[in-house]
Amino acid sequence: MDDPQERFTDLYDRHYRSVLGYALLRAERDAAEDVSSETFLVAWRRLDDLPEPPLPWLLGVARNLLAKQRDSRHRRQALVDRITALTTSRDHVGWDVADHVIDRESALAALSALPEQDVEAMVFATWYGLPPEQAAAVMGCSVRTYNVRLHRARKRLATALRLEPGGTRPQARTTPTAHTAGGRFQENPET
Amino acid sequence: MTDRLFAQLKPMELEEMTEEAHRRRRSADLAAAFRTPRSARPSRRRIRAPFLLVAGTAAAGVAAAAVIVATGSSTAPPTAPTPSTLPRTARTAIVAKPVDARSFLLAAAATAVREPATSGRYWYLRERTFAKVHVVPGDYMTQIKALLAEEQRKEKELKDKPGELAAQRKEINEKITQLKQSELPYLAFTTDTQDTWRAMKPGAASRFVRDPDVSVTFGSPQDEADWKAAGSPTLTEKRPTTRDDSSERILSIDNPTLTIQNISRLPTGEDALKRRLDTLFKQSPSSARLSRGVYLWQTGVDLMTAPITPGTRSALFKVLAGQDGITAQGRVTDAVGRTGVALSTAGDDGVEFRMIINEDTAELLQYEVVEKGQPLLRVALERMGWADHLGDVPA
Repeated sequence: MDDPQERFTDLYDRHYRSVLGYALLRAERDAAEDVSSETFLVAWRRLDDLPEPPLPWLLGVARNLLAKQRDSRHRRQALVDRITALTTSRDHVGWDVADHVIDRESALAALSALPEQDVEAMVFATWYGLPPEQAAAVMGCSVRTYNVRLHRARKRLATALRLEPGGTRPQARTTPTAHTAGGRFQENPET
Repeated sequence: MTDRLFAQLKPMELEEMTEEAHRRRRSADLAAAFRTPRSARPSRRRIRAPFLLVAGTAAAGVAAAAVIVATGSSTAPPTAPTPSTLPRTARTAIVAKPVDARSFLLAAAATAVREPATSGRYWYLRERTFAKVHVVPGDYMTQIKALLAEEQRKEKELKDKPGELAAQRKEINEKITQLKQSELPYLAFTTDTQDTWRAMKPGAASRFVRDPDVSVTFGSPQDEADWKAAGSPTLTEKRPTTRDDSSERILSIDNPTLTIQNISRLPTGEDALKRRLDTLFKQSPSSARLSRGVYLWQTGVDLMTAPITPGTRSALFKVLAGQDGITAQGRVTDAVGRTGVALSTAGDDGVEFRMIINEDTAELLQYEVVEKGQPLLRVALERMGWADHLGDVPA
Protein backbone atom coordinates (compact mmCIF):
# COMPACT_ATOMS: atom_id res chain seq x y z
CA MET A 1 0.00 0.00 0.00
CA ASP A 2 2.33 2.72 -1.20
CA ASP A 3 -0.29 4.96 -2.73
CA PRO A 4 -0.74 7.87 -0.29
CA GLN A 5 -4.44 8.21 -1.01
CA GLU A 6 -4.98 4.53 -0.36
CA ARG A 7 -2.95 4.69 2.83
CA PHE A 8 -4.86 7.72 4.03
CA THR A 9 -8.24 6.15 3.24
CA ASP A 10 -7.24 3.10 5.25
CA LEU A 11 -6.13 5.32 8.13
CA TYR A 12 -9.40 7.24 8.00
CA ASP A 13 -11.58 4.13 7.88
CA ARG A 14 -9.66 2.50 10.64
CA HIS A 15 -9.48 5.38 13.10
CA TYR A 16 -12.14 7.98 12.30
CA ARG A 17 -14.62 6.47 14.74
CA SER A 18 -12.11 6.36 17.58
CA VAL A 19 -11.05 9.96 17.02
CA LEU A 20 -14.62 11.22 16.80
CA GLY A 21 -15.57 9.07 19.80
CA TYR A 22 -12.97 10.91 21.83
CA ALA A 23 -13.92 14.36 20.46
CA LEU A 24 -17.54 13.66 21.38
CA LEU A 25 -16.43 13.32 24.98
CA ARG A 26 -15.14 16.87 24.89
CA ALA A 27 -17.49 18.77 22.59
CA GLU A 28 -20.95 18.83 21.07
CA ARG A 29 -21.57 16.81 17.95
CA ASP A 30 -20.92 19.48 15.28
CA ALA A 31 -17.80 20.75 16.94
CA ALA A 32 -16.55 17.21 17.55
CA GLU A 33 -17.00 16.33 13.89
CA ASP A 34 -15.17 19.48 12.78
CA VAL A 35 -12.28 18.66 15.08
CA SER A 36 -12.13 15.11 13.71
CA SER A 37 -12.04 16.35 10.10
CA GLU A 38 -9.30 18.80 11.00
CA THR A 39 -7.33 16.06 12.76
CA PHE A 40 -7.35 13.91 9.63
CA LEU A 41 -6.38 16.85 7.47
CA VAL A 42 -3.30 17.28 9.67
CA ALA A 43 -2.68 13.54 9.33
CA TRP A 44 -2.86 13.79 5.53
CA ARG A 45 -0.25 16.55 5.45
CA ARG A 46 1.99 14.54 7.76
CA LEU A 47 1.20 11.13 6.29
CA ASP A 48 4.84 10.10 5.87
CA ASP A 49 5.71 11.00 9.45
CA LEU A 50 2.94 9.13 11.21
CA PRO A 51 4.17 6.91 14.01
CA GLU A 52 3.11 3.32 14.37
CA PRO A 53 0.54 2.83 15.83
CA PRO A 54 -1.03 6.07 14.58
CA LEU A 55 -4.06 6.21 16.90
CA PRO A 56 -2.33 7.80 19.94
CA TRP A 57 -0.88 10.45 17.63
CA LEU A 58 -4.31 11.15 16.10
CA LEU A 59 -5.91 11.39 19.54
CA GLY A 60 -3.15 13.75 20.64
CA VAL A 61 -3.80 16.04 17.65
CA ALA A 62 -7.56 16.01 18.35
CA ARG A 63 -6.93 16.75 22.01
CA ASN A 64 -4.73 19.75 21.14
CA LEU A 65 -7.26 21.07 18.65
CA LEU A 66 -10.00 20.81 21.26
CA ALA A 67 -7.87 22.62 23.81
CA LYS A 68 -7.30 25.46 21.36
CA GLN A 69 -10.95 26.12 20.63
CA ARG A 70 -12.05 29.55 21.85
CA ASP A 71 -15.43 29.76 20.23
CA SER A 72 -18.08 28.98 22.86
CA ARG A 73 -19.70 26.38 20.59
CA HIS A 74 -16.42 24.55 20.53
CA ARG A 75 -15.38 25.07 24.11
CA ARG A 76 -14.17 22.00 25.79
CA GLN A 77 -16.72 20.47 28.11
CA ALA A 78 -16.33 18.42 31.24
CA LEU A 79 -15.85 14.76 30.41
CA VAL A 80 -18.32 13.40 32.91
CA ASP A 81 -20.98 15.89 31.77
CA ARG A 82 -20.49 14.68 28.23
CA ILE A 83 -20.67 11.02 29.25
CA THR A 84 -23.89 11.80 31.09
CA ALA A 85 -25.29 13.67 28.11
CA LEU A 86 -24.50 10.76 25.78
CA THR A 87 -26.01 8.19 28.13
CA THR A 88 -29.36 6.81 26.99
CA SER A 89 -31.95 4.50 28.45
CA ARG A 90 -30.26 1.59 26.70
CA ASP A 91 -27.19 2.09 28.85
CA HIS A 92 -29.36 1.90 31.93
CA VAL A 93 -31.02 -1.26 30.76
CA GLY A 94 -27.66 -2.84 30.03
CA TRP A 95 -26.23 -1.85 33.38
CA ASP A 96 -26.06 -4.70 35.84
CA VAL A 97 -26.45 -3.31 39.36
CA ALA A 98 -25.98 -6.74 40.88
CA ASP A 99 -22.71 -7.13 39.05
CA HIS A 100 -21.31 -3.72 39.91
CA VAL A 101 -22.90 -3.22 43.35
CA ILE A 102 -23.44 0.42 42.44
CA ASP A 103 -25.90 2.10 40.08
CA ARG A 104 -24.82 3.99 37.02
CA GLU A 105 -25.64 7.47 38.31
CA SER A 106 -23.65 6.90 41.48
CA ALA A 107 -20.70 5.68 39.44
CA LEU A 108 -20.87 8.82 37.29
CA ALA A 109 -21.28 11.01 40.37
CA ALA A 110 -18.19 9.41 41.89
CA LEU A 111 -16.31 10.16 38.68
CA SER A 112 -17.39 13.80 38.59
CA ALA A 113 -15.64 14.29 41.91
CA LEU A 114 -12.30 13.27 40.33
CA PRO A 115 -9.88 15.65 38.61
CA GLU A 116 -10.68 15.81 34.91
CA GLN A 117 -7.37 14.35 33.81
CA ASP A 118 -7.75 11.35 36.06
CA VAL A 119 -11.01 10.44 34.33
CA GLU A 120 -9.33 10.99 30.98
CA ALA A 121 -6.56 8.59 32.02
CA MET A 122 -9.24 5.96 32.68
CA VAL A 123 -10.83 6.63 29.28
CA PHE A 124 -7.57 6.00 27.45
CA ALA A 125 -6.74 2.93 29.50
CA THR A 126 -10.15 1.29 29.51
CA TRP A 127 -12.11 2.43 26.48
CA TYR A 128 -9.15 2.74 24.15
CA GLY A 129 -6.92 0.10 25.70
CA LEU A 130 -3.86 2.30 25.26
CA PRO A 131 -0.74 1.18 27.13
CA PRO A 132 0.69 3.85 29.51
CA GLU A 133 3.41 5.11 27.12
CA GLN A 134 0.84 5.76 24.40
CA ALA A 135 -1.77 7.29 26.70
CA ALA A 136 0.87 9.55 28.24
CA ALA A 137 1.86 10.68 24.75
CA VAL A 138 -1.76 11.58 23.97
CA MET A 139 -2.11 13.55 27.19
CA GLY A 140 1.26 15.23 26.75
CA CYS A 141 2.59 14.19 30.14
CA SER A 142 5.22 11.78 31.44
CA VAL A 143 4.40 8.09 31.80
CA ARG A 144 4.95 8.52 35.51
CA THR A 145 2.38 11.32 35.77
CA TYR A 146 -0.05 9.32 33.69
CA ASN A 147 0.33 6.29 35.93
CA VAL A 148 -0.27 8.43 39.01
CA ARG A 149 -3.50 9.77 37.46
CA LEU A 150 -4.66 6.33 36.49
CA HIS A 151 -3.87 4.87 39.89
CA ARG A 152 -5.64 7.73 41.65
CA ALA A 153 -8.74 7.37 39.48
CA ARG A 154 -8.92 3.62 40.07
CA LYS A 155 -8.45 4.05 43.79
CA ARG A 156 -11.12 6.70 44.17
CA LEU A 157 -13.53 4.77 42.05
CA ALA A 158 -12.87 1.66 44.11
CA THR A 159 -13.49 3.66 47.28
CA ALA A 160 -16.77 4.89 45.87
CA LEU A 161 -17.71 1.30 45.08
CA ARG A 162 -17.04 0.13 48.57
CA LEU A 163 -19.15 2.94 49.96
CA GLU A 164 -22.16 1.63 48.11
CA PRO A 165 -24.84 1.01 49.02
CA GLY A 166 -24.47 1.52 52.76
CA GLY A 167 -22.27 4.61 52.86
CA THR A 168 -22.96 8.19 51.92
CA ARG A 169 -23.71 8.54 48.28
CA PRO A 170 -21.85 11.30 46.47
CA GLN A 171 -24.18 13.98 45.16
CA ALA A 172 -24.65 13.80 41.42
CA ARG A 173 -23.28 16.94 39.83
CA THR A 174 -25.31 16.62 36.71
CA THR A 175 -28.99 15.92 36.95
CA PRO A 176 -29.85 13.53 34.15
CA THR A 177 -32.83 14.67 32.12
CA ALA A 178 -35.87 12.52 31.64
CA HIS A 179 -34.53 11.63 28.20
CA THR A 180 -31.14 10.42 29.31
CA ALA A 181 -32.42 8.63 32.37
CA GLY A 182 -35.14 6.75 30.50
CA GLY A 183 -37.78 5.17 32.64
CA ARG A 184 -35.42 4.04 35.28
CA PHE A 185 -35.84 6.88 37.74
CA GLN A 186 -39.49 6.15 38.29
CA GLU A 187 -38.59 2.72 39.50
CA ASN A 188 -35.97 4.02 41.82
CA PRO A 189 -37.50 6.83 43.85
CA GLU A 190 -34.67 7.08 46.38
CA THR A 191 -32.26 8.47 43.76
CA MET B 1 -13.24 -4.46 39.06
CA THR B 2 -13.14 -0.68 38.69
CA ASP B 3 -11.89 -1.03 35.13
CA ARG B 4 -14.74 -3.34 34.24
CA LEU B 5 -17.22 -0.92 35.76
CA PHE B 6 -15.66 2.01 33.99
CA ALA B 7 -15.70 0.12 30.70
CA GLN B 8 -19.46 -0.23 31.04
CA LEU B 9 -19.93 3.49 31.53
CA LYS B 10 -19.07 4.05 27.88
CA PRO B 11 -22.36 5.20 26.33
CA MET B 12 -23.66 2.82 23.67
CA GLU B 13 -24.79 5.84 21.66
CA LEU B 14 -21.17 6.71 20.92
CA GLU B 15 -20.75 3.80 18.60
CA GLU B 16 -23.80 4.64 16.51
CA MET B 17 -22.95 8.33 16.42
CA THR B 18 -19.41 7.70 15.21
CA GLU B 19 -20.60 5.06 12.77
CA GLU B 20 -23.18 7.38 11.29
CA ALA B 21 -20.75 10.33 11.13
CA HIS B 22 -18.16 8.14 9.44
CA ARG B 23 -20.61 7.32 6.66
CA ARG B 24 -21.84 10.89 6.36
CA ARG B 25 -18.50 12.70 6.43
CA ARG B 26 -16.19 10.20 4.78
CA SER B 27 -16.30 11.36 1.17
CA ALA B 28 -16.08 15.07 2.02
CA ASP B 29 -13.23 14.51 4.48
CA LEU B 30 -11.26 12.37 2.02
CA ALA B 31 -11.85 14.85 -0.80
CA ALA B 32 -10.78 17.77 1.37
CA ALA B 33 -7.56 15.97 2.26
CA PHE B 34 -6.74 14.96 -1.32
CA ARG B 35 -7.14 18.59 -2.40
CA THR B 36 -4.55 19.67 0.17
CA PRO B 37 -0.84 19.42 -0.71
CA ARG B 38 1.19 17.10 1.48
CA SER B 39 4.57 17.88 2.94
CA ALA B 40 7.12 16.42 0.52
CA ARG B 41 9.21 13.87 2.28
CA PRO B 42 10.46 10.50 1.14
CA SER B 43 8.16 7.73 2.19
CA ARG B 44 9.50 5.39 4.80
CA ARG B 45 8.78 1.98 3.42
CA ARG B 46 8.49 -0.79 5.84
CA ILE B 47 10.39 -3.98 5.19
CA ARG B 48 8.21 -6.99 5.47
CA ALA B 49 9.42 -10.27 6.84
CA PRO B 50 10.40 -12.70 4.07
CA PHE B 51 7.75 -15.18 5.09
CA LEU B 52 4.99 -12.61 4.63
CA LEU B 53 6.26 -11.97 1.13
CA VAL B 54 6.07 -15.65 0.38
CA ALA B 55 2.54 -15.78 1.72
CA GLY B 56 1.57 -12.77 -0.36
CA THR B 57 3.00 -14.33 -3.50
CA ALA B 58 1.20 -17.62 -2.97
CA ALA B 59 -2.15 -15.89 -2.67
CA ALA B 60 -1.40 -13.54 -5.55
CA GLY B 61 -0.55 -16.47 -7.79
CA VAL B 62 -3.93 -18.08 -7.31
CA ALA B 63 -5.71 -14.76 -7.68
CA ALA B 64 -3.92 -14.07 -10.97
CA ALA B 65 -4.98 -17.44 -12.33
CA ALA B 66 -8.55 -16.63 -11.42
CA VAL B 67 -8.38 -13.25 -13.15
CA ILE B 68 -7.71 -14.93 -16.49
CA VAL B 69 -10.87 -16.97 -16.10
CA ALA B 70 -12.88 -13.89 -15.28
CA THR B 71 -11.64 -11.68 -18.09
CA GLY B 72 -11.80 -14.50 -20.62
CA SER B 73 -15.52 -14.97 -20.09
CA SER B 74 -16.61 -11.38 -20.54
CA THR B 75 -15.56 -8.05 -21.97
CA ALA B 76 -14.37 -6.90 -18.59
CA PRO B 77 -12.77 -3.49 -18.11
CA PRO B 78 -8.99 -3.59 -17.82
CA THR B 79 -9.10 -3.15 -14.05
CA ALA B 80 -8.59 -6.23 -11.94
CA PRO B 81 -11.90 -7.68 -10.83
CA THR B 82 -12.55 -7.75 -7.10
CA PRO B 83 -12.78 -11.18 -5.54
CA SER B 84 -16.55 -10.93 -5.21
CA THR B 85 -17.02 -10.65 -8.96
CA LEU B 86 -15.17 -13.85 -9.75
CA PRO B 87 -17.26 -16.75 -10.97
CA ARG B 88 -17.66 -19.51 -8.43
CA THR B 89 -16.40 -22.02 -10.95
CA ALA B 90 -12.97 -20.47 -10.50
CA ARG B 91 -12.91 -22.20 -7.14
CA THR B 92 -10.49 -25.09 -6.82
CA ALA B 93 -9.86 -27.61 -4.14
CA ILE B 94 -7.17 -26.27 -1.81
CA VAL B 95 -4.67 -29.09 -1.85
CA ALA B 96 -4.98 -32.76 -2.51
CA LYS B 97 -2.83 -33.75 0.41
CA PRO B 98 -2.09 -31.16 3.07
CA VAL B 99 1.63 -31.15 3.61
CA ASP B 100 1.78 -29.01 6.70
CA ALA B 101 -0.41 -26.59 8.60
CA ARG B 102 1.21 -23.52 7.10
CA SER B 103 0.71 -24.42 3.46
CA PHE B 104 -2.79 -25.67 4.18
CA LEU B 105 -3.66 -22.33 5.83
CA LEU B 106 -2.12 -20.32 2.99
CA ALA B 107 -4.14 -22.29 0.48
CA ALA B 108 -7.25 -21.75 2.62
CA ALA B 109 -6.48 -18.02 2.51
CA ALA B 110 -6.45 -18.12 -1.28
CA THR B 111 -9.77 -19.98 -1.33
CA ALA B 112 -11.47 -17.71 1.22
CA VAL B 113 -10.69 -14.51 -0.64
CA ARG B 114 -12.53 -15.73 -3.73
CA GLU B 115 -15.84 -16.20 -1.93
CA PRO B 116 -18.35 -13.44 -2.70
CA ALA B 117 -18.98 -10.83 -0.02
CA THR B 118 -22.51 -11.11 1.31
CA SER B 119 -24.77 -9.32 3.74
CA GLY B 120 -28.18 -9.77 5.32
CA ARG B 121 -30.43 -8.96 8.23
CA TYR B 122 -29.71 -11.89 10.52
CA TRP B 123 -26.60 -13.99 10.88
CA TYR B 124 -27.71 -17.57 11.33
CA LEU B 125 -25.66 -20.27 13.03
CA ARG B 126 -26.57 -23.85 13.86
CA GLU B 127 -24.21 -25.48 16.33
CA ARG B 128 -24.16 -29.03 17.58
CA THR B 129 -22.36 -29.04 20.91
CA PHE B 130 -20.90 -32.03 22.63
CA ALA B 131 -19.62 -31.05 26.07
CA LYS B 132 -18.29 -32.67 29.17
CA VAL B 133 -20.63 -32.32 32.15
CA HIS B 134 -18.81 -30.69 35.05
CA VAL B 135 -21.64 -30.24 37.51
CA VAL B 136 -25.16 -31.51 38.07
CA PRO B 137 -27.09 -28.40 36.99
CA GLY B 138 -29.81 -28.64 39.66
CA ASP B 139 -27.36 -29.12 42.54
CA TYR B 140 -25.12 -26.41 41.24
CA MET B 141 -27.84 -23.78 41.05
CA THR B 142 -29.10 -24.68 44.53
CA GLN B 143 -25.62 -24.31 45.97
CA ILE B 144 -24.90 -21.05 44.15
CA LYS B 145 -28.19 -19.55 45.30
CA ALA B 146 -27.46 -20.59 48.88
CA LEU B 147 -24.04 -18.92 48.71
CA LEU B 148 -25.48 -15.73 47.26
CA ALA B 149 -28.18 -15.62 49.94
CA GLU B 150 -25.52 -16.08 52.59
CA GLU B 151 -23.52 -13.26 51.04
CA GLN B 152 -26.47 -10.90 51.11
CA ARG B 153 -27.21 -11.75 54.74
CA LYS B 154 -23.62 -11.10 55.76
CA GLU B 155 -23.51 -7.85 53.80
CA LYS B 156 -26.34 -6.54 55.96
CA GLU B 157 -24.91 -7.87 59.19
CA LEU B 158 -21.42 -6.56 58.61
CA LYS B 159 -22.07 -3.29 56.84
CA ASP B 160 -20.46 -1.27 59.63
CA LYS B 161 -17.41 -3.54 59.84
CA PRO B 162 -15.54 -3.11 56.56
CA GLY B 163 -12.66 -5.36 57.62
CA GLU B 164 -14.85 -8.34 58.41
CA LEU B 165 -16.97 -7.69 55.37
CA ALA B 166 -13.96 -7.85 53.06
CA ALA B 167 -12.84 -11.13 54.63
CA GLN B 168 -16.36 -12.47 54.27
CA ARG B 169 -16.52 -11.53 50.60
CA LYS B 170 -13.22 -13.24 49.97
CA GLU B 171 -14.43 -16.41 51.66
CA ILE B 172 -17.60 -16.52 49.61
CA ASN B 173 -15.70 -15.89 46.40
CA GLU B 174 -13.45 -18.80 47.24
CA LYS B 175 -16.42 -21.04 47.87
CA ILE B 176 -17.94 -20.06 44.52
CA THR B 177 -14.66 -20.73 42.74
CA GLN B 178 -14.41 -24.12 44.44
CA LEU B 179 -17.92 -24.97 43.35
CA LYS B 180 -17.19 -23.90 39.79
CA GLN B 181 -14.08 -26.04 39.66
CA SER B 182 -15.55 -29.15 41.24
CA GLU B 183 -15.73 -32.26 39.09
CA LEU B 184 -18.19 -35.10 38.99
CA PRO B 185 -16.97 -38.56 40.04
CA TYR B 186 -17.98 -39.96 36.62
CA LEU B 187 -17.40 -38.90 33.02
CA ALA B 188 -20.52 -37.78 31.17
CA PHE B 189 -21.27 -35.72 28.06
CA THR B 190 -24.31 -33.90 26.78
CA THR B 191 -25.07 -33.30 23.11
CA ASP B 192 -27.42 -30.54 22.09
CA THR B 193 -28.19 -28.28 19.16
CA GLN B 194 -28.72 -24.56 19.14
CA ASP B 195 -29.87 -22.22 16.40
CA THR B 196 -28.99 -18.56 16.66
CA TRP B 197 -30.20 -15.62 14.60
CA ARG B 198 -28.20 -12.54 15.44
CA ALA B 199 -29.77 -9.28 14.34
CA MET B 200 -27.43 -7.02 12.41
CA LYS B 201 -29.43 -3.94 13.34
CA PRO B 202 -28.41 -2.65 16.77
CA GLY B 203 -31.28 -2.96 19.22
CA ALA B 204 -33.26 -5.44 17.09
CA ALA B 205 -34.19 -8.78 18.64
CA SER B 206 -31.99 -11.81 18.15
CA ARG B 207 -33.31 -15.33 18.58
CA PHE B 208 -31.82 -18.32 20.39
CA VAL B 209 -33.47 -21.69 19.93
CA ARG B 210 -32.39 -24.79 21.72
CA ASP B 211 -33.52 -28.14 20.34
CA PRO B 212 -35.45 -30.05 22.96
CA ASP B 213 -33.60 -33.28 22.19
CA VAL B 214 -30.58 -33.31 24.43
CA SER B 215 -28.77 -36.58 24.80
CA VAL B 216 -26.41 -37.78 27.50
CA THR B 217 -23.56 -40.21 26.92
CA PHE B 218 -21.01 -41.63 29.34
CA GLY B 219 -17.28 -42.06 29.07
CA SER B 220 -17.55 -45.79 29.82
CA PRO B 221 -20.08 -48.31 31.22
CA GLN B 222 -18.36 -47.83 34.59
CA ASP B 223 -19.06 -44.09 34.43
CA GLU B 224 -22.72 -44.83 33.76
CA ALA B 225 -22.82 -47.23 36.70
CA ASP B 226 -21.23 -44.56 38.93
CA TRP B 227 -23.85 -42.07 37.77
CA LYS B 228 -26.62 -44.55 38.67
CA ALA B 229 -24.98 -45.11 42.04
CA ALA B 230 -25.09 -41.33 42.59
CA GLY B 231 -28.88 -41.47 42.21
CA SER B 232 -29.08 -40.87 38.43
CA PRO B 233 -29.23 -37.05 38.70
CA THR B 234 -30.52 -35.10 35.71
CA LEU B 235 -27.48 -33.89 33.76
CA THR B 236 -29.28 -31.73 31.22
CA GLU B 237 -30.50 -28.29 32.01
CA LYS B 238 -34.11 -27.34 31.61
CA ARG B 239 -33.95 -24.08 29.73
CA PRO B 240 -36.61 -22.33 27.68
CA THR B 241 -36.32 -23.56 24.12
CA THR B 242 -36.89 -20.26 22.29
CA ARG B 243 -35.74 -16.90 23.49
CA ASP B 244 -35.87 -13.54 21.74
CA ASP B 245 -33.55 -10.98 23.17
CA SER B 246 -32.63 -7.53 21.95
CA SER B 247 -29.76 -6.87 24.34
CA GLU B 248 -26.27 -6.64 22.91
CA ARG B 249 -24.64 -10.08 22.92
CA ILE B 250 -20.94 -10.56 23.30
CA LEU B 251 -19.53 -11.87 20.05
CA SER B 252 -16.10 -12.82 21.30
CA ILE B 253 -15.45 -13.13 25.00
CA ASP B 254 -11.78 -12.33 24.60
CA ASN B 255 -12.53 -9.23 22.50
CA PRO B 256 -15.21 -7.07 24.08
CA THR B 257 -14.83 -4.34 21.45
CA LEU B 258 -15.79 -6.58 18.54
CA THR B 259 -19.46 -6.54 17.59
CA ILE B 260 -21.47 -8.27 14.90
CA GLN B 261 -21.72 -4.87 13.21
CA ASN B 262 -18.08 -3.83 13.28
CA ILE B 263 -16.32 -7.11 12.43
CA SER B 264 -17.09 -6.66 8.74
CA ARG B 265 -14.68 -3.72 8.85
CA LEU B 266 -11.74 -5.68 10.21
CA PRO B 267 -8.66 -5.24 8.02
CA THR B 268 -8.40 -7.35 4.90
CA GLY B 269 -4.63 -7.15 4.65
CA GLU B 270 -2.52 -9.66 6.49
CA ASP B 271 -0.22 -7.11 8.14
CA ALA B 272 -3.07 -4.84 9.16
CA LEU B 273 -5.11 -7.71 10.59
CA LYS B 274 -2.11 -9.05 12.44
CA ARG B 275 -1.51 -5.64 13.99
CA ARG B 276 -5.16 -5.35 14.94
CA LEU B 277 -5.18 -8.79 16.53
CA ASP B 278 -1.99 -7.94 18.42
CA THR B 279 -3.66 -4.81 19.78
CA LEU B 280 -6.83 -6.71 20.64
CA PHE B 281 -4.75 -9.32 22.42
CA LYS B 282 -3.05 -6.64 24.52
CA GLN B 283 -6.43 -5.11 25.35
CA SER B 284 -8.05 -8.44 26.01
CA PRO B 285 -9.28 -9.15 29.50
CA SER B 286 -7.90 -12.66 28.94
CA SER B 287 -4.38 -11.71 27.85
CA ALA B 288 -3.03 -12.36 31.35
CA ARG B 289 -4.13 -15.98 31.37
CA LEU B 290 -4.03 -16.96 27.70
CA SER B 291 -1.03 -17.53 25.52
CA ARG B 292 -1.06 -15.70 22.21
CA GLY B 293 -1.50 -19.00 20.37
CA VAL B 294 -4.61 -19.98 22.33
CA TYR B 295 -5.98 -16.45 22.10
CA LEU B 296 -5.53 -16.52 18.34
CA TRP B 297 -7.23 -19.90 18.09
CA GLN B 298 -10.19 -18.76 20.16
CA THR B 299 -10.52 -15.42 18.39
CA GLY B 300 -10.10 -17.20 15.05
CA VAL B 301 -13.02 -19.48 15.88
CA ASP B 302 -15.13 -16.49 16.96
CA LEU B 303 -14.39 -14.69 13.70
CA MET B 304 -14.82 -17.71 11.44
CA THR B 305 -18.31 -18.30 12.84
CA ALA B 306 -19.28 -14.65 12.32
CA PRO B 307 -19.96 -12.52 9.23
CA ILE B 308 -16.47 -11.27 8.41
CA THR B 309 -15.61 -10.32 4.83
CA PRO B 310 -13.86 -12.76 2.47
CA GLY B 311 -10.82 -10.46 2.65
CA THR B 312 -10.67 -10.66 6.44
CA ARG B 313 -11.17 -14.44 6.35
CA SER B 314 -8.30 -14.74 3.95
CA ALA B 315 -6.09 -12.47 6.04
CA LEU B 316 -7.00 -14.45 9.15
CA PHE B 317 -5.81 -17.69 7.55
CA LYS B 318 -2.55 -15.98 6.64
CA VAL B 319 -2.09 -14.71 10.19
CA LEU B 320 -2.72 -18.24 11.48
CA ALA B 321 -0.22 -19.57 8.93
CA GLY B 322 2.38 -17.29 10.48
CA GLN B 323 1.64 -18.44 14.00
CA ASP B 324 4.03 -20.97 15.48
CA GLY B 325 2.77 -24.13 17.09
CA ILE B 326 -0.11 -25.00 14.77
CA THR B 327 0.17 -28.50 13.38
CA ALA B 328 -1.89 -30.36 10.77
CA GLN B 329 -3.26 -33.71 11.88
CA GLY B 330 -4.56 -34.86 8.51
CA ARG B 331 -8.08 -35.61 7.37
CA VAL B 332 -10.73 -36.35 9.97
CA THR B 333 -14.50 -36.69 10.09
CA ASP B 334 -16.45 -34.28 12.25
CA ALA B 335 -19.34 -35.02 14.62
CA VAL B 336 -21.90 -34.78 11.83
CA GLY B 337 -19.94 -36.85 9.30
CA ARG B 338 -18.20 -34.20 7.19
CA THR B 339 -14.56 -34.50 6.22
CA GLY B 340 -11.95 -31.83 6.79
CA VAL B 341 -8.39 -31.24 7.84
CA ALA B 342 -7.71 -30.98 11.57
CA LEU B 343 -5.33 -28.27 12.76
CA SER B 344 -4.20 -28.28 16.33
CA THR B 345 -2.50 -25.96 18.78
CA ALA B 346 -1.39 -26.83 22.31
CA GLY B 347 -2.51 -24.84 25.33
CA ASP B 348 -1.30 -25.13 28.88
CA ASP B 349 -1.64 -28.24 31.02
CA GLY B 350 -1.96 -30.70 28.18
CA VAL B 351 -5.07 -29.06 26.73
CA GLU B 352 -5.22 -29.13 22.96
CA PHE B 353 -7.32 -26.90 20.71
CA ARG B 354 -8.44 -28.09 17.30
CA MET B 355 -10.16 -26.73 14.23
CA ILE B 356 -11.47 -28.84 11.40
CA ILE B 357 -11.51 -26.97 8.12
CA ASN B 358 -13.16 -27.96 4.87
CA GLU B 359 -10.51 -28.40 2.19
CA ASP B 360 -12.66 -27.17 -0.69
CA THR B 361 -14.37 -24.16 0.82
CA ALA B 362 -12.01 -23.20 3.69
CA GLU B 363 -15.03 -23.15 6.01
CA LEU B 364 -14.70 -24.00 9.67
CA LEU B 365 -16.59 -27.27 10.22
CA GLN B 366 -15.88 -27.94 13.87
CA TYR B 367 -13.80 -26.81 16.81
CA GLU B 368 -12.70 -28.89 19.77
CA VAL B 369 -11.01 -28.66 23.11
CA VAL B 370 -9.26 -31.87 24.10
CA GLU B 371 -7.58 -32.65 27.41
CA LYS B 372 -5.15 -35.56 27.52
CA GLY B 373 -6.88 -37.21 24.56
CA GLN B 374 -10.29 -36.80 26.20
CA PRO B 375 -12.68 -34.32 24.54
CA LEU B 376 -13.99 -31.55 26.78
CA LEU B 377 -15.91 -29.71 24.10
CA ARG B 378 -16.71 -30.35 20.48
CA VAL B 379 -18.84 -27.92 18.49
CA ALA B 380 -19.88 -28.79 14.95
CA LEU B 381 -20.97 -25.76 12.94
CA GLU B 382 -23.71 -27.44 10.99
CA ARG B 383 -24.82 -24.40 9.09
CA MET B 384 -24.20 -20.68 8.95
CA GLY B 385 -25.26 -17.85 6.69
CA TRP B 386 -27.74 -15.04 6.21
CA ALA B 387 -31.44 -15.10 6.93
CA ASP B 388 -34.00 -12.41 6.17
CA HIS B 389 -36.31 -13.18 9.06
CA LEU B 390 -36.07 -14.70 12.51
CA GLY B 391 -36.73 -18.42 12.13
CA ASP B 392 -35.69 -18.61 8.45
CA VAL B 393 -32.88 -20.99 7.64
CA PRO B 394 -30.48 -19.95 4.86
CA ALA B 395 -30.77 -21.97 1.68
